[in-house]
Amino acid sequence: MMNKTAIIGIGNPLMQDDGIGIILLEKLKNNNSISKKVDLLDGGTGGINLIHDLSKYKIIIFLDAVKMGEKPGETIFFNISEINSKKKDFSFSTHEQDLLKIIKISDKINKNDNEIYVYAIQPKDTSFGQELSEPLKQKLDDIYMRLVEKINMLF
Amino acid sequence: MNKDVKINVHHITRVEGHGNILLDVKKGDIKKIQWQVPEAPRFFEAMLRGRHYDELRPITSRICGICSIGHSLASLKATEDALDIEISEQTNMLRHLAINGENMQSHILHIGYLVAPDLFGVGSVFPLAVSNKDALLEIVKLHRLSNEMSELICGRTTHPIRLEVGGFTMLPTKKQLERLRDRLNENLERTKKVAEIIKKVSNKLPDFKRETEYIGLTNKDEYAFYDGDIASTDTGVLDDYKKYRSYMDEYFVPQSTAKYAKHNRKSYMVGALARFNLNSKQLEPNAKEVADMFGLKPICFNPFMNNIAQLVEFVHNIEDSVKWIDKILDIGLKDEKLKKITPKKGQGVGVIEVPRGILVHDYTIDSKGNCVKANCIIPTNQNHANIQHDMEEFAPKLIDKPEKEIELSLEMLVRAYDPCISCSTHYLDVEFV
Repeated sequence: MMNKTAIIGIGNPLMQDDGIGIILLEKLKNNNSISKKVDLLDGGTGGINLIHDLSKYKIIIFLDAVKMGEKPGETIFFNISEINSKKKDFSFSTHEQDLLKIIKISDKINKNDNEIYVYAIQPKDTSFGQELSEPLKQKLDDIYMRLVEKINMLF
Repeated sequence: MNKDVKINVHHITRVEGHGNILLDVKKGDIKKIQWQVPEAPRFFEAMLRGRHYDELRPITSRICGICSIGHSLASLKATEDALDIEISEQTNMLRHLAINGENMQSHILHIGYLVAPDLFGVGSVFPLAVSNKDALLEIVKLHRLSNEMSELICGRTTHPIRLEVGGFTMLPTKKQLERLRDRLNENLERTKKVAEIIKKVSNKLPDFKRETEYIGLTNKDEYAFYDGDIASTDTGVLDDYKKYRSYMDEYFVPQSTAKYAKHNRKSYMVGALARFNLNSKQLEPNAKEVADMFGLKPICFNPFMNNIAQLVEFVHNIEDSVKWIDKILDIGLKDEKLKKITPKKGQGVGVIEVPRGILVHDYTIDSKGNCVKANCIIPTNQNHANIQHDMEEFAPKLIDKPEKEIELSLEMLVRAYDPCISCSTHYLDVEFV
């Protein structure tokens, strides 16, 4: 039986901090109390392939690196309605993956009635490499604990 | 004919990644026409060096979120080739389903969300959701089916988890396969309906031809995706897949950080149209019908028809998958366990057709099972030179048209190749309201 809530990790672990969403998702998989009550999905870099997942859940939390002008490793938990994308409009490419546009198109097609949150982590370096940048590596436990707190507060 | 035109399309929209089109016309003369790929080069090959053979597939599956199944399969084939691992008939059949699922996913995504807006004359898929909602909904259903199929066979829609060296970690059940077969059969009619919708607007595809070479896999037993021999429409079949470099001569050009490639001519094309041109006789009946509907015949030298070849392949993938499922169920699903592997020294090459064309992974593995050398030849890189030469011939036919139309036509040309230039970072860039 599918849960009503999904946590979806986004990004590419081959591009340093871009993979933080996937790293957090892997950590959550080892957390039994959370993995029992929510579906944990690896969105990776599949872009628009997500549109069908969005219509399946009442609550979705995305874990993603977000450029938001904070210090590397800082996190913000927000509802998707609180933000605007700064990416150029209509630059709709399946791979550039503007999450906000994917959500928008899914809403249009599927008439979704759901709440979408983002646990955003400010990246330092999203260039090629399989490890997190130093500031994110140092703050990883803290970033994870803050996420668990948010999840426990919601459910 | 005396006009000046300056087009500089940065980060062309609706292709996957970054690419620029530059056109400079002075008094009717084309001074410069360039397809530029300024994407930072990615060193995936370097990342594989020193890694144990069982890590190669998970790493390479992250090269591309759209072709993660294809990269996985190329990686497994190369690894198994290097380690002399035989796979079972069942694994072979399930891998055929896996690549069909990915091809369907990618093609319908491209046709429906990226090409259809051009054909319907709207800027993107957003207005399409209003102006042609019914058509879009049909496409969405086909996309959903493709995703479900990939998830059932590979364990996930993207970045598969069930595909492993030597076999599968988990199998679909008999019941699930039967259900999938029913769903595929039910959707065959829908694909024809979508083909009819596209047919009505296909006159928007420019009638442009440039003779070129087409390279892809060919297989006497089937329309090749998972396995076959490397072949060219110019020079025929290559006798040994390990000599792939003799058909894929990669080189660098100043305008692009991605590699270019050539073989018998100054450029060649890979992808759905190349496969169609090489193997159209082996298409399933409904796929052939759709090709006929659009007058698509080999050898077709119109790159814009790659979009139609994708549609034809989508139909073929559905019919072909039904056949594979029937075969698997006839033989009976076996609970095969993964065999223990003893690492050995060797070099292996995996060649496979992925949605955008022929993909090669080539690994050298040492006696401990670690990768010491890797080479990956990506489809889109093989198409860059062909895009450039198409543009050089296409642009002079456009310069009398309004600038916006020239721009759109050149963009449509690039989109027809369905390039995947960047499979890199995907962070959001936001402001709070």
